[in-house]
Parts: sequence; structure tokens; C-alpha cells
Amino acid sequence: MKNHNQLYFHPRKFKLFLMLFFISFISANVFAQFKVTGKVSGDNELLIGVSILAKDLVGVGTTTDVDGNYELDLPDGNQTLIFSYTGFTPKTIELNGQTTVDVVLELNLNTLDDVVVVGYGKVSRRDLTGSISSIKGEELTKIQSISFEQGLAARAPGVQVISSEGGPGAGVKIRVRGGTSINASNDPLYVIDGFPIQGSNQATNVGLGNSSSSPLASIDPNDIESIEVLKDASATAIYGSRGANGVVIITTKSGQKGKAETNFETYFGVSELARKLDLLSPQEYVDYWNEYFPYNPNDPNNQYSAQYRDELGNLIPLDDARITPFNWGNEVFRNSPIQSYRVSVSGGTDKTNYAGSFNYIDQQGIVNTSEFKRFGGNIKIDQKVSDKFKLGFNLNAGITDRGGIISAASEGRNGQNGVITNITLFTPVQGQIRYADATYDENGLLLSTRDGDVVNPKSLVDKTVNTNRTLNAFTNVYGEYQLAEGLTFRSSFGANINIFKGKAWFPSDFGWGRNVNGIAIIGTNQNSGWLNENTLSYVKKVGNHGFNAVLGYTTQYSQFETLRAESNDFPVPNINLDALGSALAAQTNRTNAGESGLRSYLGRVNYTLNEKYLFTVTGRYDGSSKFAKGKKYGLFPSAAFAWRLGEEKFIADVDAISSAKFRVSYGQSGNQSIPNDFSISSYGFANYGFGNTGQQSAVFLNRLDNPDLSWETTAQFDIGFELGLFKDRVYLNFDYYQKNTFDLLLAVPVPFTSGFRTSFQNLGEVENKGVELSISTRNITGKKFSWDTNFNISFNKNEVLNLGDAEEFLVSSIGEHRNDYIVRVGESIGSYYGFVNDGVYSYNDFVEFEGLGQAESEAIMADFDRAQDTWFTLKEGVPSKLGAARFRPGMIKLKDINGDGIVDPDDRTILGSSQPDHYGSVTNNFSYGPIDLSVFMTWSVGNEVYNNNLTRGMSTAIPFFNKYGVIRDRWSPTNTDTDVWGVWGEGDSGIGDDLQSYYIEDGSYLRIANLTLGYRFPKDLLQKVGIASARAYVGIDNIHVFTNYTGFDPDVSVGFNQLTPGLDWDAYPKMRTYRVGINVGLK
Amino acid sequence: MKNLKYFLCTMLLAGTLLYSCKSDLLEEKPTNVIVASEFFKTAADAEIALNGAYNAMQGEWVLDFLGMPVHWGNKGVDELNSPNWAAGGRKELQLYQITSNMGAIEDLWAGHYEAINVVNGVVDRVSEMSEELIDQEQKDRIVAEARFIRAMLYFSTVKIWENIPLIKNETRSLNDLFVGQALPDDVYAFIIEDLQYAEATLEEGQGEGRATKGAAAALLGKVYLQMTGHPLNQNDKFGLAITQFEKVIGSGTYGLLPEYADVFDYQNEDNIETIFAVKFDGPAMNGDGSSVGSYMGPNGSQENGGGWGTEFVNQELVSSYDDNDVRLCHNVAKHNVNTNCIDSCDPNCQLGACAWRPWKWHKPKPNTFLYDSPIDMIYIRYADILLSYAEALNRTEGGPSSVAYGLVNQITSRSNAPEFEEGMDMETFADALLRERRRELCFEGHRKDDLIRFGKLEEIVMAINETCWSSAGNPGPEYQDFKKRYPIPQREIDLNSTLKQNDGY
Repeated sequence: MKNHNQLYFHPRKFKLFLMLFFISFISANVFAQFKVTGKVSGDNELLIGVSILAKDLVGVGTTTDVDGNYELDLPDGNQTLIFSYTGFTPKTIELNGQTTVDVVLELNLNTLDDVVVVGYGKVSRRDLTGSISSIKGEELTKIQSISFEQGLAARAPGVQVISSEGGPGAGVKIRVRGGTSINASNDPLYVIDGFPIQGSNQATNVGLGNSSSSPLASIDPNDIESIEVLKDASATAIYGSRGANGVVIITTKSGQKGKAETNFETYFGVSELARKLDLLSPQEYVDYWNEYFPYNPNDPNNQYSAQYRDELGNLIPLDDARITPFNWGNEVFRNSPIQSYRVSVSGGTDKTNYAGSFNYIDQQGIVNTSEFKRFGGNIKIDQKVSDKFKLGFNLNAGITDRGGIISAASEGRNGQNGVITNITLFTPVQGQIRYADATYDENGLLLSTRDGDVVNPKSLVDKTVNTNRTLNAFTNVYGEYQLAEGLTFRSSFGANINIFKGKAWFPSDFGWGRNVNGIAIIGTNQNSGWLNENTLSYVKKVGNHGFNAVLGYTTQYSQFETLRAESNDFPVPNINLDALGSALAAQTNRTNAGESGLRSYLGRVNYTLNEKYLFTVTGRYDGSSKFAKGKKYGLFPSAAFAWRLGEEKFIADVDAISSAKFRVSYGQSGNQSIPNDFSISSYGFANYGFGNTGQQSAVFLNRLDNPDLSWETTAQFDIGFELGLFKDRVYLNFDYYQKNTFDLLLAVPVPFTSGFRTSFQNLGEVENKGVELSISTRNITGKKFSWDTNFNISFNKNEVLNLGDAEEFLVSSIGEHRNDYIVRVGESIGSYYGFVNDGVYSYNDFVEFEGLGQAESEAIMADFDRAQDTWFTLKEGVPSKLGAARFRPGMIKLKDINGDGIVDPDDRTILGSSQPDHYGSVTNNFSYGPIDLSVFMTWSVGNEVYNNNLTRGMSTAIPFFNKYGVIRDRWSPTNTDTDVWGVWGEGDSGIGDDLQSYYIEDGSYLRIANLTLGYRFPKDLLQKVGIASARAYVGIDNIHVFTNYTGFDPDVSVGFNQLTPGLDWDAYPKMRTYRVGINVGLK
Repeated sequence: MKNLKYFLCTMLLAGTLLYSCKSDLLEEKPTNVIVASEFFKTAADAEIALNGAYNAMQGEWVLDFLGMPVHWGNKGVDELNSPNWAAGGRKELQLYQITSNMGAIEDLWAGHYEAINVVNGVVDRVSEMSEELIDQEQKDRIVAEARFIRAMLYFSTVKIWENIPLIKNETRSLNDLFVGQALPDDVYAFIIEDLQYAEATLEEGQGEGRATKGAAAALLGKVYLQMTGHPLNQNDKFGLAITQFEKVIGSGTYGLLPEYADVFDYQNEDNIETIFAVKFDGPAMNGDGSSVGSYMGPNGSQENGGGWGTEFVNQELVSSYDDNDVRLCHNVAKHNVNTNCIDSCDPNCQLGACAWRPWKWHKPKPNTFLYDSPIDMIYIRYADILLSYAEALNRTEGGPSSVAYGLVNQITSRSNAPEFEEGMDMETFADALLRERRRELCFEGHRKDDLIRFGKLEEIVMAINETCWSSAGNPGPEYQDFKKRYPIPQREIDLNSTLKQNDGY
């Protein structure tokens, strides 16, 4: 072997070697002299596709057919056969001349023999040294999630899945062991059938809104065989520069020899709004309005104060014809259908394995017009060209259509609010007077008020277009050649493409498009790339020494292009998006493009001694186009050791312990997920118009070059323990890790005097450390009744250790607040930052009310028409607020943290963070005969949610919006025992665009995420109609959430800035879905 | 067998070919931006870069209306009231509740220095171009225009913060990030040098948005004049200012428009009264529009010509106008544009006085401008030069001469306002002139500089007494002398330890 190894390092010689090898290729020939037949069964069923191999004869074997029968020709009857089947313990049988051997395989409760996909290879879980969570396809599809990311939610310890919002096809954020970076991406690397792709969420709106979806939404989770999440450095280092945020390996289903299957799966369901908000009722809203606009006898027809009053100032009842109450929720929310269909075929012969599927899903959202549709397919073919040569293809392609509403809109003015904000805040009662600055439809119903700031949600939903379509495809071809026993060369070439096209139309009669007679926007993004990988792997066992090694060379190229076209002013009715040319005002078309490349050398050696001591050494040497000349290459090594304690006599003798493994690993991985060309100084484009000659092109310097820009590195230490008890009926997996990311790709704040706000430098450090624990128990394993439980829990602490010269910097989220997040040394990335509420100013805080009782104080207030127009003198020692000059009871009071008597920006503090103390899930699976039941619960504890909807929903300074229910308890001269500010209470307090702690809520929750009840039809019944298997089920997703959060759902985080997590702002609410489905297997 | 061999060879070959095609796979070759080191190869490059200097000056938080005028010139003075709901720090600035960590001050500082760096880049890189690339005359003109812009930027920076880093060249390395403060004297010297070069190099003419000889002469005059006040108090500069103003007036390029309203008409821009303006185009002109007419505008919806309702007019300013002064109803909106009233002073249209808003730049009814209006921000206009000239004459001559009266009365007579009657002494004339400047130039961003130069800031601020609901309060109680310049942003001091905070903050 030594000679061979020397050859490999010389590519030219290596090619020569290959040629010689092909020429000298001789196929083996086995002479049949002995025939053995039999049946294989297990778990009371005949097993199809059981692999049967002759132990001592290379390449001699077969599989069982659909009836569980097998037949094998052997040279003699003294052979030993190995029967193996996924999920069952393999059985070795010495023939001793028998010609008929029926075998019963035992169900295997432990997972140690499962094959786990790792980077550039596979190992059995037994031999694993790294920390890898593996999720099987069945688990993933239990909740019929639209995207596999949703299916991952709470399934794997250390893998946090956070919804952006609740709409159909909405994106999620995945964090593997916490966020490592501040400015480079924190999203894991996805590897789909060997194709690595940086899968950050895609924006789904080309106009307004910040909704996102997964770029991998084209993949049907039902096509997935397994997902492996690589977590520790030993596992991720093979992906080198892209491994720091974890690696999610997705393996799609392949056909298996002899196991021809045709399946048809379908389900139907209906979704509803899972939780409702507490808003003011129409009457309460009118009461609030009338408090805001008191009756004015001198101006009885005032457009505001007379809105809900007659000429004498008497209140008009809600059932009066002059006013119109609405329930916008009823108008816009609906119970929406979902349907899904999937057909698949798979199978294999001695030489060919194949799998193909097609799926169609149509999910309508609970807000009118929102929907997600997917047409997807997957084809995988593996062909044994000869005993030594294997060739395979696969193609995965999907088209997704999203239709939808504008949500998570960043602007709150000029009719640019999102739909959810309008549903909650559009006036619930239309008064009797038409406003001068409002628009009305032909029936006189309000379309928008306040210059289009608030838009009738029904019109908004019905008339606004916001759709997009994505085509996403991967294709791959590989050839694998066995050069010698255990030595395999593999070369693959793949390509991917993702084409997104979005359209948005904002009509001319209300909202954003009103001022410019309609806005039509079309945007496209295209991402594509290719990948070439060449690996040489070697597996060998010599006595007690086992080797498993891989060496590789890969290159990957990625490219993107964008185009955005916008036109305004559409004079022809109903002509807009499909005829942009009809517009009178075309905006400048905008394009962007870029390309990047990676060139890498990788290697890994696994060595096992006595099947007890396992060693892994991995390294990848990566070059990336993203870094400065001379700084492009980085080396990412790792090493791991595992000790299978269970094999040691002192443990093996303990009956209770069935298996035990201790693991430890250390290594480095990297991150290069920053935009292209950040190391070079460049000019951006603008324009300037002299005289009336139109616009002239202009450029301006927008980046300082950094000739030292290079890799961000994450060093990770992991120590783990696995323990199987009572024949693995209890299996426990524990990990402690510490991950330190240094030389961050950080947008370092630089003095503004340099002409730049930030400069990208390798500076700073972030730490994540945590504990993960999963426990699987087989509580009852009866023949008829079984019950098992899977539990996992994760703790992660994220902390910024160093930011270079800076101690902190502030970040602004989408929405109306500024500097509402902070990145500060000693805190977790993206903490909420602002003022702490201290209730409201009370009578006691003012000189004028000194010593007065409640009744006397009320008497003073009764002298004023409106409480909000009167001002009093703060007592000595009562803190005032910067930005406010005059005070009165009922105004927001903030904590003067530094005690200097005035609340100013120095009194801002950290108000919480979206990082939970722990999160996890419990799954209970029951089966009783043909009936199965599973209950899946998830939780998150200790995280806060930033409910920015309250900013408008609690604004007592703006009467034109409806309010959240909490405003019922607002301060008034007679309702003083409250923390809720009175009319104008926040407007006058100088809160402005600052965040206050009132908007930060506890986001802990326990969710009953899914309940599924299934029934397997009896085989004999099915056989009469020619069906092999059938299972029907009913399921409910998102049954209930136990939480104190007052918004729609605490599992929310809108926007694309990873430094502003946990933000709930105009987010699409989550739904509850009821489903009925059936899976049918045809013969 | 054969097929297999071909296949494997092809695979390897494909890989090999791709590598060789992509031998530059790891190179950075952007096509969506200009690589700085590859620009400035032609005269056209230099012109485009110069446009970039104009664009930088126009940026929000710089010399755009929302920058220096709104956050400095109009704030903390007796022109406007910020209501309680005014966000973004404007209310705090008006009330002198100023702290060094205010976002508005940070943005103002950052905006100015970003623009300065862009302009420094143009000056440096165009100067470095050889004669083969660009002819000398064109090169000098481009550098002179850029240096004019730089002078504007430093003039506003030194007025706002007084003690500022004087950065004369583009920042090209991470090693050049930390620069200490210069004396205001040195900053002014640099400004004067730039303007003298611009004046000497540039051509005469209105310029239609470009810097000209006249614009440079006028700005230099204003710079000299400002140097007579705090912090330099150099009285010898009155004479230099006079020379500059005489050149501007003597050039014959500029004059007063007969109608006050026409000066601010967005369809009558680049007129002879406009010596230099920051140009805006809109709506929907690549985002090159301004917020001028919306930030200050009447009650009513924006599409009818209304404003945002975040600024209200100072009542004492309103009462300082004579009833017949045409500027009153032009500069103050007493009406709601949603009604059919056109004249703000139509008695049938008037809202309560507390609802009156500033209205110098009139948007048409209807309009689609929103934040993106075509209205230019006039930076220097001829009326200002006449009044400044009168101011300097009054000071150098120890009282108003007939020339000085004549200058002021050109302004008053145009607007049908009471003339300045002869017989005033120097101080009386100066006081009257200061009030006249407010009536003429209000909201244009000059008031704070004027009050500082006249040494009247404290007196005026203390006297403000607004009782309207549309006022968040009076600035007097919080005013202190050190607040006549803003604090250096705390962020800058934290990052650059060589910076020293302005006294008092």
C-alpha cells in the first residue's frame, strides 16, 4: 500500500496507474455448484431486500425478493452467510451443507449499526468519533412540514430552528450550537447529496416587506433519507472554511436492491389562526377616540370630535346607521386548505438501483391570497457498470410558487405598513364624517386614512400583488472505481441553479402606490455554480487495526446575478406588471452580479484499535476568492479520540450497561460567508443633476481596502459520552462543547473622520459553550403494545468576548426604532437595548398634587378639558426625561439607571435577548397493533421576544389606529393604579425612536407541536385489492402553545439582519393545521 | 471496458479543464463596482468622480436640507418649534438637551466626514493624474470645484463642532484612521486656501449647480464674516469680507428677483439670485430628490402640498413681520392645503396660531413628491450677500452708511416691508439687520450662525417663550454657553483617544 500512496501524490503518475489498472482489469467468475434457498422474516413480517453475503467470497451475494425469498449459488456448502437488514441485528449463519435456510432477524433496538453520513464518506455510528445528530426521513416527515428545516425543529440537540414568521413557506433560521459570527453568516452549510451550498434565507418580496423563505424549499422532505447535522470540529473540519456554523448533510432516498416499491401518498388538511390577539373592541376603540377628542361645543362638526358623536355630543351607538363597525380579522383571515400528493418508485437489481419521485403541494395561507405551491421531483440512479466500477446520477428539481401578503414591512408610513399591522390596527369603526386626507371606495367605505398610512386590510390583500416563483435544481454525476480492495477513487461533477422571480404591484387607489399612480416591481435573482470533487478512499482492516481514510481535491464555483425593474404611473386600468412598458415613469433598472470560487484539498484518517480505541484526524486546506491576495488559503485541522468503554471488560461485566462510549475532539473550522470583493477599495454609483440637463452619473468611494482580509476561524472543543442501558432500551447521549470564534470577519467601527463607518477586518472573538443531552427510551416493547420516548435538551451560552478597539456597537432593526439592539462585549450577540419602563408618572410625582388624595387630585384634573393638555411641576428628585420639557401624570416614566436625575441615552441598558436558557423536545411514540400515535412537544425557556407591534398597538398619541387590549387599562385621572400610559402618554415622554422595556416580553413557551394518530390496514385485507401496504392517519400541527407572550407566537424572528434576532414586527401569525392522509404502497 | 475508460478520463479531463479555465478562480474581479485603483484613467473618469463629490455634499445629514440646516442652523433658535412628537433628536436639539451620544449628532458628524473623504479623494486622485490622461485646464477646474465643495463641508463642520480633525487627504489605509483635532484657526486657513484656489481657477457665471468663481467669492466672503464672531472674533476679517462681497456684486452675474416667491419656486431654479444651490431632482429620479417641501409644509396631506407636521413656526417670528410684508404669507402657512385656500393669509382659511407651520418651499397641489421632491436647497443667495455686505460695512464704518441702508432696503422694498430709516447707530442697525435677516432668510439654515456671529445666541434663546401645544417647550432653561457648539460624538472619542471632548459636555 505504501507504494500506492506514493503514487497518489503525483497526479501524472496516478493517471498512468489508472490506465494500467483498467487495462489489466479482469472480471471474476464464480462457478455455481451449490444452491441455497430460504425465507427471511423479522418483526412478524417477511422482509424484502435483505442483503445476504457470503462472508469469504468477494462480491457473492443476493437480496430477498418481495416475498422474502432468496436463492444463492455458491461454489460449495461450507460457506458462511451474513444476513443484514436496516433496523435489524445482522445474523451470521454457517451453512454446513444445508440447502434450505430460513432466517428470522431480530429487531435491533440500538442504533449503533446505523450508517451515518459524514463529510465525504459514511461510517457506522459505532465507529463515530465526532458529534453528529442524525435524523431519519420518517422522523422528519412525521409533521408534514413543507420544508425540511421545519421538520428539523427541535429534533436534534444543539440545533436551534427559529421561525421567521408563520406564513406558508416562511423561512427559518438554523443555528447549530449558537451563532459564531457577527457580520459573516451564521447559517450552517448545507450539503445536498454531496453538493455544498451556503443556504441563507431568500427574500420573498421585491417590493415591501421582509419575508423570507428557504432557498431549499424546493426539496420535498419526503425525498430525504436522512439528515445529518455535523456539530463538532472533528465532524465539520472536513468542510474547512465553511464548517464553523455546522454542516447539515441531506441525503435523498436511493433505491435498494430487490426492494421495488411504488408509493402514493396524499393528505388534505385545513389550517386556522392558532392564536388570536387581544385588541380593543369597536366600542372600546370609540371610547378611546372620544377620550382623545373631547366634544367641542364650539365646533360640533369637527371631523375628529364629531366622528362618533351627534351634534349635541351624545355618543352614537354602534348599531346606528351613521357608523360602521368592522371586524377586519374576519374579513381577512380564513380557514385555508392544504393538499399534498406524492408518487414515488424505487428499487434495484444486481446492477441498478433507482429511485424517482414527484410531489405536488398546495398550501393556502390563513390570510387571503397567501399560498405556497411546490412541484418537485427527484431522480437517482446508481449503476454498477462492472464489479469495480459504479456510475450514478441524480437530479433534484423543484418549482415553488409563493403568493402572498406583505408582511414584516419595515416602513410604517406612507401606506407602507404590512398587512398584519393593518389587520390589527385599521380602524374597527368607520365614523360618520369623511376625512379630507382619507380615500374611500365607491361604496363610501374607507380605503386608507392619514395620507395612506393605514390601509383597509381587505383592499390591501385583495388588490396588492406580491408573488414569486423559484426554480431550484441540483444535478450530480459520479463515477466510482475500485482500484484495489478497499481502495476507491471517486470523481463527481455537479451543478446547481436557483432562479427567483418576484413581482409586486401596489395599486393606485390607496397605500404606497397611491401617490405615484401605482408601483410595479419585478425582480429576479439567479444563483448558480458547479462543483468538481475527486476523492480517493481506502478502507482496510489488518488484525486489530482498522483504517478508513479519504483524500480529496475539490473546486467549487458560484455566481449570482440580480435584476430589478420598477415602473410607476400606470394610466391604463388593470394593466401593470405584465406590461411595464405601459408606465409613464420608468425607474432605473438595477443589476448586480458577482462570482466566487473555492479550491480545496482535504483528508481524513480514521484508525481503530481493537475496535475500542478510535482516532480521527482531519484536515482541509481551503483557498477562497473572497480574501486578499496572499491571504486566500487557510488550514483547518481537527483530531478526535473515542473510547468504546462498553467493550472493556470492567464495563462489559456490568449487566445494566449495554454500551458506552467516551468521545473527545478538538479542531478548527472557518467562515467565509461575506459578500465578494471586500478586501478591495471600491467606488459605488450615484448620480447628480446640474441645471435642468437631467442626471449625470457619479461615483463615490465606499470601501477602504484591507490587504490583510482573511479567514474567520472557529476552534471547538467537544467532550461527549454515550451510554446504553438495559440492552440499549435507554440510550443517552451527552455533549459539552466550547466554541471560540476569533479573527472575526467583523465590520469594525472606525472613526467616522476616516470617511467610513466600518471597515471589514479580522478582529474580535465570540464564544459559544453549551451542553446537549438526548435520551431515548423504549419504555414498553411488547409484541402488541410499544411505547418509546425521545427527549432532547440543549443549553447554549453565546458571548461576545472581544470587538477589537470597540466595547460595543448599536444596531437598528427593521421597524421604527433606532439603535434598539446592541453587540457588546460580555453579552450575547444581538441583545435588545433601550430604556427600562418604570410605570407612569403619578400624582405623587408632582408638586401640585403634594399631599392630595385621589379624589382631590381628580378634582384638579376635572378642571381641564383634556388631561393631555396640562402640565405640572416634577418634584425634586423625580427623574425627568431628555427630549421632554413638560410633564404630567400618566406619561411614561423611565428608570434613571445612573441616578443623575435625568433619563438620557446613558440610561439605556440591555433589556434581554432572544437566546433561550434551554430548548428541546419530547416525542412519545405509541403503537398498539396496527394503531400508532405520536405526540411531539417542543419548548424554549428563558428567551425574550421583542414585540415591536406594541409600538403602534400601544401608541396613545395616534388616535387613527386601533389599539391592543392592554390599552384598556390606560392611565386616566380616575384610573391611576396602572402601568399603562394615558392618552398622549408616550408621545409626550420623549420616547421617540427608542426601545423601551415594555415591548420586550418573555418568549418562553411549551408547544404541543404535533399529534398524529395512524392506522395500518391489515395485509390480508389489502392483498385482496392488490395493495402491499396502506397507512391512514390524522394529524394536528401546532395544537397549542403555552406562553405568556401577548403577540401571535413567540417563535418568531423577522428580518434578515442576524444581529437583530427575536423581532416580532408585522409577522405573519402561525397556524394550526388539521390533516388527514393516506400512504399506499403498491406491489 | 472501453466506455469506462473514456468515462473516467472524461471526468478527470473535465475537472482539469475547468481548473485551467478558471485559473483565476480565486481572484477578486468585481464587475459591479469600480475598483478604486483602476479608476481615474481618463478625463471622463475625473468628471464622474467630481459628480460624486457633489453627490456626497448632497447626502442626507450633510448639506442636504435635512443635514446642516435642519440639525444645526434652524435648531435651538427662534424660527421653529419642535412638537412633542418630533423624533430623531430634533426636539432635543431645539431644547438644548444635547448629549454626546445623540444619534443625530453622530449622523451629522459621520455625514460630513464621509463627504469630506470622498471630496479629498477627488482632489488627490485627479491631481495625481498625468497630462496624458487629462489636460491641465480641465484638471484644474475639477480640482477647484472639488475644493469649493470641501470648503463648504469644513465650513459647516467647524461651525458645528469648533474643534475638529482637519483631514486634508483621502484615507487610504487602515493605519491612517486616528487623527487629532486642529485649531479652528487652522481649519479656517484651510477653507480660505481652498476657496481662494477655487475663486482664482473657476469661471464666472451662475453655474446651474456647479461651483463658479462668484460662488467661491461669495462663500469666502461669508467665511471671513463668520470669522469675526465666536470663536475667532477676528474683526480684521470684516474688510476682507467686504472685498469679497464687492466682487460678487460687481460681477454683474447675480441680482435680486423681483418677486420673493419666485426665488423658491422649484420651476424657476438656477435663477440669478441663486449663487450656489444643492441640486435635487425628483420625484422618481433615482432617489435624487429632497424632503425640502415636506419637512416644512402646511397642514394637510402631502399630495396636496402639505408637510409632515413635525415643525411649527415660532410665534414671535410671525409677529415680527409687518402685515404688508409679502414674506409673511409666503414663509408661514396659516391654512390647511386640503381646503380650497391658496393664500395662507386668507382670513377665511386660518387655523389657530399654534397650528401654523413653516412654508417657504411650496409644493404644487396635487403632487407626488413625498420624500422625493425636485426642490433645490439654496446654499448662498444674493439677498444674503447684500445683507452680509451691509453688516460688514456697518461694523467697519462704525455705523450704517447710506450704502448700507441702500443694501438693506433693496431687500425690504422687494417684499413691501418697512424700509430701514436713516439715523440708526451701529448697534441699532446691527440689531435691525439681524431681525431683517431672520425675516428674509428664515428656515434656510443661517439663523444659528447669525446669532453666534452677532454674539446674540444666549440672549435670543433665553427670550424664547412659546406656549403653544405645538411646542415641546422652551430652550432657555437648558441653554448654557458651551452649547453653542455640539459635542464631539462619544463614539468618536471612544474609538479615537486623541480626540478631546468640547468643554462643558
